[in-house]
Amino acid sequence: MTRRWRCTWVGGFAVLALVSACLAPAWAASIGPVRKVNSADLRLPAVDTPPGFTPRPERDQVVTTGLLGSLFGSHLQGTLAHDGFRVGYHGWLDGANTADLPFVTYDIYAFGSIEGAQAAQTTLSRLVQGLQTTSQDSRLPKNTATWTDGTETFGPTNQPFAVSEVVFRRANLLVTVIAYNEGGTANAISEALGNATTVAVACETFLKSRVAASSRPPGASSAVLP
Amino acid sequence: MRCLRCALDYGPEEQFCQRCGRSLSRPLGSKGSAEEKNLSTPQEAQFFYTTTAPPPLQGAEQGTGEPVAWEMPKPQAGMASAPVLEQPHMDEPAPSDTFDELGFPVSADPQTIADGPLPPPPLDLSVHAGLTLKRATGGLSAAANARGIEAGDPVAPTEAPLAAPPMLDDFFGDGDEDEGSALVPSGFGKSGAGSRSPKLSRGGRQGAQTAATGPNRRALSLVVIALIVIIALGGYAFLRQRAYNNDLTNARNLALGGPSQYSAAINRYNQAIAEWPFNSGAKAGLAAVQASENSAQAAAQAAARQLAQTDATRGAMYEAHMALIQQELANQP
Repeated sequence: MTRRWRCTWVGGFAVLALVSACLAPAWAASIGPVRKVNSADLRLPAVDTPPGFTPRPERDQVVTTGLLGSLFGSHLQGTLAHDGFRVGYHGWLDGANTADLPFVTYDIYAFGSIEGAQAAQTTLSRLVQGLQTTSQDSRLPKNTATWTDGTETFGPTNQPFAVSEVVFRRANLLVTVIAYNEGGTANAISEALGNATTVAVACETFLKSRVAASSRPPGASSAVLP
Repeated sequence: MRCLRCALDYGPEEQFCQRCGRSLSRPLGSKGSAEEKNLSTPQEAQFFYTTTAPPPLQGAEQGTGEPVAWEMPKPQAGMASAPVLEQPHMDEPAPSDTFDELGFPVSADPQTIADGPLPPPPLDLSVHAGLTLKRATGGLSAAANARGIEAGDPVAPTEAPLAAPPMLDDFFGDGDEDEGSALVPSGFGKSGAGSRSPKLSRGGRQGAQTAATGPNRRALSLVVIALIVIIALGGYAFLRQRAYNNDLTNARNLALGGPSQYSAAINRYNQAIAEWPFNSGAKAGLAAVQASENSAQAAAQAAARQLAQTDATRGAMYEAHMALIQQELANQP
């Protein structure tokens, strides 16, 4: 009787393993890397812009390797290039016209492979200041990491401002969302976290559709970006 | 025709004076209308008169002192109502040698007067013949001379009525057809010493008439010109005022269109102000729109300054965060 039960469990696992092995390539294909990426394709469309935020196109810019070097230095530039950085887009969204002057920036970088994006996520995560939180929105991917920081200051009088940063990856696309709020109080930090999460969800929604449309069919080449 | 009161001349067809409304009289010496025939009757001719006393008859003064008389012409048919004057007979003595101041015989028999019509009084030219005083002095003297009648003798009745001569052009028989009629005093014609009164002569009257009608015509012309000017100015003012109203309405509509239309509204208001002098409404609207525009501009400037400051603050936060990342990168080995 006991032997029969053992055989049943082993057989069940074997069937599940076989089914998983058969379905894994198809699932992997559905979340595969975006093969052709232009800088304009990484811009958050107006229809996907969350309510309460206003795009500021004059502050947007295309992120190239050269710009990475000017922003983060040659060392990080080399690191990201090694990870397969192709092109990126830096966007700016103004928040509500309140006294704490909320606004959000988002950076979407396209890499040559999913592994390159994962490596870049690891690299950039080391640069984030503040405390990493455990709570995150269920609409964001599992690889999402969130930080908050209320200790930063700006201006000649060192006015405090709150920063909340959300980093996640979708296929070979790395997304970094940073929300700013004037003031270093808990409310400012919470508002910044909420704004960052909102914009991150909007980016995730946009990229999810973008990746699904650009995923290669099963058995195709692994070349992803031009 | 002439108005003896207003001393104005009219055409031959005019019957009444246009100034005083009185009936017109045909001036003596004028020719021609259909009335001449009627006026040639002795009954009507005897109504011609003069306003001046005749000078004494020379013939009478130089003669025997007997009055000169003539017989009035026979009345024509249809003139029965006119007084009938009997013709005195030259061979019969005059009923009386003395007459009163009116020319009636003083010693007339009352019975005779009661029985028959009153005989025509012998006309004393010194009293009654004002109408023919010049005639008596000139024409009559010539006729008397031709007939051998001495001055002062009774004048025999003539075939032609004496009423006709006053209708002649040369009434006074001095060869001056332009001589004035009744208003010309006797003895002051061309033959008389050239002492014609300028005020009473025809030329003088024409001048006076011209002087009277000239100002009237000038006044009428001035009135007409003034009316034309007033009408022209009224039309011009009407057009300008209508343009002013249109511009004012358009300006108000533009002002209601919002701050984007304020500039056009101000232009319209200024145009309306320039078109009509009584433009208080446009000035008030202009002031209101300018105030609104100023406030809108101030608000826009304030919003722009606030936006710039907000952008600067946000940019400062972003720069501070990037600087922190770069500092972190610099600290990494």
